[in-house]
Amino acid sequence: MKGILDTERGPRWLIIQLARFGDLMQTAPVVAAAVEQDPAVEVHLLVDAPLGNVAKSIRGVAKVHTIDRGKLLKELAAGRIADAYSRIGELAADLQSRRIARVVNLTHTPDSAYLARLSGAPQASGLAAGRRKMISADPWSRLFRVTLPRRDWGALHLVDIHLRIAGLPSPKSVAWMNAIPSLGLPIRPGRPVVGMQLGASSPLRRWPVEAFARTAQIVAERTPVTIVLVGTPAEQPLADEFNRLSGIETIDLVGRTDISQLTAAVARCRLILSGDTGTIHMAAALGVPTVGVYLGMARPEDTAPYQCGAVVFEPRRDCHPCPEQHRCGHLACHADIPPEAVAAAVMAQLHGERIPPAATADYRQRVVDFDDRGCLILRDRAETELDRRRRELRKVWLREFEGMKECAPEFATDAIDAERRMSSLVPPASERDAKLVALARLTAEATLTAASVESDLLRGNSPHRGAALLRKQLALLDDYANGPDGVGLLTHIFQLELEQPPDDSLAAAALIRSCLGALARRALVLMVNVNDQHQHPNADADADERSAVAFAGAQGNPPLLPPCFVWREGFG
Amino acid sequence: MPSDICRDNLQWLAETNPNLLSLAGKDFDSGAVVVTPSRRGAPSLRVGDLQLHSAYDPIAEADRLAERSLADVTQGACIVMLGLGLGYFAQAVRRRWDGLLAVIEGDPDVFSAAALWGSLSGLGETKLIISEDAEQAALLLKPLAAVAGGWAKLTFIRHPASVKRFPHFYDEVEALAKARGSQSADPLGVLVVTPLYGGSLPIARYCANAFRRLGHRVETLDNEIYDPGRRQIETASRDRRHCRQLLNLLTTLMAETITARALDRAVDLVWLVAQSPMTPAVAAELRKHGIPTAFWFVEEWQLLTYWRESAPIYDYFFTIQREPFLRDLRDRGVKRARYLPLAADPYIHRPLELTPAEIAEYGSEISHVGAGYRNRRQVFSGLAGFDFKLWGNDWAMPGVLSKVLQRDGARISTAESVKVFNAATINLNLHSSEFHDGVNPDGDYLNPRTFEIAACGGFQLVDRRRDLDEYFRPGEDIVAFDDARELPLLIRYYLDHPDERRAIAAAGRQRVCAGHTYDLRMADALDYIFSRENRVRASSRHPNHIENLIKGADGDPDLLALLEELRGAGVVTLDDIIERIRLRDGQLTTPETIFLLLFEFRRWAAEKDLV
Repeated sequence: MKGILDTERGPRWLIIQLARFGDLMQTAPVVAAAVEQDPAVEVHLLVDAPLGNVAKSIRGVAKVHTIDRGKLLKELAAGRIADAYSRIGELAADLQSRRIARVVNLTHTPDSAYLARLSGAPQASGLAAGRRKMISADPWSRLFRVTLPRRDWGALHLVDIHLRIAGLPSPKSVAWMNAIPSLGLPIRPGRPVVGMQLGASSPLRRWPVEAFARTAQIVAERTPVTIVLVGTPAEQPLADEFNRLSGIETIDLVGRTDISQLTAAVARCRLILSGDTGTIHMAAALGVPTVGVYLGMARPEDTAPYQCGAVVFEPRRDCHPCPEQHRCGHLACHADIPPEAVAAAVMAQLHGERIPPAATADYRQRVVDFDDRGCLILRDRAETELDRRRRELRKVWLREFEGMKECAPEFATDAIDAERRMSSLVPPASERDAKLVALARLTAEATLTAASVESDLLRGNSPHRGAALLRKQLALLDDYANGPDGVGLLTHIFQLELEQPPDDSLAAAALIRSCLGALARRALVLMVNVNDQHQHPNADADADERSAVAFAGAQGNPPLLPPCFVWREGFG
Repeated sequence: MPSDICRDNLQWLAETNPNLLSLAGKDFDSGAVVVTPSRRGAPSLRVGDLQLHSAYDPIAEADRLAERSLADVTQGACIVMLGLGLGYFAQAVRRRWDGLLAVIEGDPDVFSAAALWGSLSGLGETKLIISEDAEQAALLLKPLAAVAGGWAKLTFIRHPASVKRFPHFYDEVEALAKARGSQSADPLGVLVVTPLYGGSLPIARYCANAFRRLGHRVETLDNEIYDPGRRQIETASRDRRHCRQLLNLLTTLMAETITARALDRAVDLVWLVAQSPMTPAVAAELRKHGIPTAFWFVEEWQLLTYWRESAPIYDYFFTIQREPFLRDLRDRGVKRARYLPLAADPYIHRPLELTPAEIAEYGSEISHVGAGYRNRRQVFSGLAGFDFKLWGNDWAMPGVLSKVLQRDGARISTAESVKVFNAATINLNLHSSEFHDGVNPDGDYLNPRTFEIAACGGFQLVDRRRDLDEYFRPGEDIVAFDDARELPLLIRYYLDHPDERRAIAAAGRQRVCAGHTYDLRMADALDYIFSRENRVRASSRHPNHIENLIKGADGDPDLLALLEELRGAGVVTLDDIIERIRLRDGQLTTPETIFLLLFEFRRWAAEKDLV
């Protein structure tokens, strides 16, 4: 370990974030939390080359490493294997020479998992690479992998997931980027600056420019402000249209700033109004208040500005948010958010007033807050079924991954007990219950098989027969894992726990036994609750919470989950 | 009930060969594949007329076979069994052999029957390969060969009855696997460009097969797919100039595709045969990249004269005729012209076990496969009184031959012509001529049929050619006639002397297999192109040539060790390296990790449409 722990400035961490601008901005709170937890820690960031400069502005980052993925892609497309190899080889050598103690991979792509491995860090969390497949080195990244293609089952904000992957508490600070030198913009005193980004990554996500213009007009009528427009060169026509429609004098920086200059411009704003863009997350990282209009696939639960008090608008429609890869023919929801309401939120933010959540038949206005565990939540007037499930799921996952001790003691029993209990249960009332009963029975049986294999191995006997049976039982579990409901989710997470079995057969058998036992218990907990509910409706709130996982999918909600798992397809 | 028997089989498959599970559950043609109880009770198997296992005691039979087959197998070998049947033989071998074992079965129906009725679970750790494609089957042996320590370690054991059903298939699997074992240290990359249609199309494919068997890396541009387009173009306009212009555009498209493919796959040679598309510009472009073009003109030079314009554009020009053609070529500035006679592909042109129905369809006392030329019409008209079947096209207005002409003069496939060669008592082979009656006294080259009929073990009467004695011994392994008027007598004689006929046919097959195969011809051609002229291979300059990558890996022992395992692979791709990595065990090394990263990054980018 010499060299890892004896550096002058404490242990080095490498955080890998190769995704887009917005994701990098949402990594800033993780860096802050790492440094808050241990001021001695030296955080290195590995990012895509074009984001290198802005990454340097993140507070607490000691060193930024870059990988030019654009050039790498060109080399690979041209078949220049040796060049591409050298590019990565040099990066790996550099990282390895720095004796990194811990790598935290917050990019959820397989190539990043290999980068994590190449860093040479003895400790890793997030997606990691094994010889045969991808491995999630911690339960939270397992959960993320499972919920990535089935986002309705997500329970935590992206930053909260990232913090947990890194094993960090939420940051106490509220701004995570360094002060940026002024751009010298022509801003008159007494006129607070309102920044707006009119564009978004896809037309589905873009609030109409007419609505932005109307919002600006309403705000300008009521209070003197300076409007600064920011965006990419491709968004220039939107800015022209905005200027024409609003008739307001603006400082038009669209297409004229690089990312550093954008940072300076955003830092100068009193508020940013935008869709779910990198700019809004940059504002949150700079501590600049935000108002977001989340359309298309944008999902505030996952990617609202990580900022207490941020206001997020979204349509209230069954089809919102759009499924990934969706092509909408009408964009009718874009008219659901009234500029008057957005203007009111902007005014309140400018004046530092507290904004209550609001909701109409057309839209929801929610306010970002943090619960007592530090998880981002959205304050709302009325909770929807999906919100309720999310809240309950959040509790379930937090309890699962951050301490089984909170689980009701009567359920923390042995699998053998579980089977005994099962035989005395009332017959299942529905197909859904039957599925759970079957799962509980299968897992209980498989736990016993695993235990017998373990005991054979301990005694030095050949576990041949038991091993064959266990393989068969594990294969049967695949059917459950592929199911489009909470049972599938549970089973799948269990499978991910087993994805990196130890080389030693005995240890592997023990791991399988303990995982199967846990799954059997979880299935039983859920099943018992169902039966309780049948007998005593509304028996207690806790039971309601416990039953949330498995049955939300079966309570008349549309089928939410795709029949297969992208991760399973990808790595074998 | 089979379901009781097969449960163990399915479990065994799930554990050892899970990829075959879906195939195991398939219904099979119970008309052709019949499972019957043997006298001793164990199921036996009959396919068509062929009994694959003993109808008395298949288990004892398998034990005897296994004893005999394993006698010569050395320790440390990896046994590849050709033919599964119901698995008795494989199990008998497994009981006696605890080394690496694979079983290949070419008939999925037989495999389904084995999964239902056999007892596969007794095979323990055995790799099963079920494929109707010899090349794919051979390729699937690759991981096993890697574990065994090389292709040369594979030892082949045949299940005689299975091999009897598909001799060609199993021969080819073995030949392909052995070719990999004896692969030259640095195989060539050869791009074979086929014509769109016609008699030289199969020849191009035989060439590709031969290059492959010689251990070279073969890419095929099969232009047959453009033939419907060509036909459409020919009727696109009544103005022939328009059609010609459109055909030129099609030729340009096909030729430019050659450049694209040749450069992408880093080949060392582009091999074309008569009628393969090419343009002077593309040939020049390839030359610029150091990739030579070789053209095999398998045509009669005085009949088809397009060689005058086209021969000079190629780097190498092979002919099936010698002087004065070669001299004429040299006079026209074609420096590297060389004689390369036709041949047979013994994996395709081979003796077949025909069913009675096939014999009825394709068989006759005398037959001829070929197009209608003047001399053939004239000679064959005199034979219409025999039990005669005439196969082939261009027999417009057949006159007296109409009653012997089959299928109204439609062209028949290679597979069917092989059946005809096998089924006919006497195959007539009269080289075509539009300028002579009967036998052309000046004919020099031998047509493909001369070699193909012989390779099939068929008996043939061939018109005497100037070069015939160089390739056969007339009277011993072939029978030649100088004058068509001899034919009726010769036919009668050989119809009446079946033993003599059979002996000559067998000798003919032996002669062709020993000396006149496409494998030998292609080896000759490559020798001429690459050895004698000491030509530097284009691929050796390619940055991804394994030797160049190895040179660049100097100083990194892990990278060197990985790349050394690919030595001999010529130009490699990222996928080749990944395939190699997947075969390795143990902790990931840094070079392995880097290559896997590049692979996954490229895949991710492709999924995101970033490439």
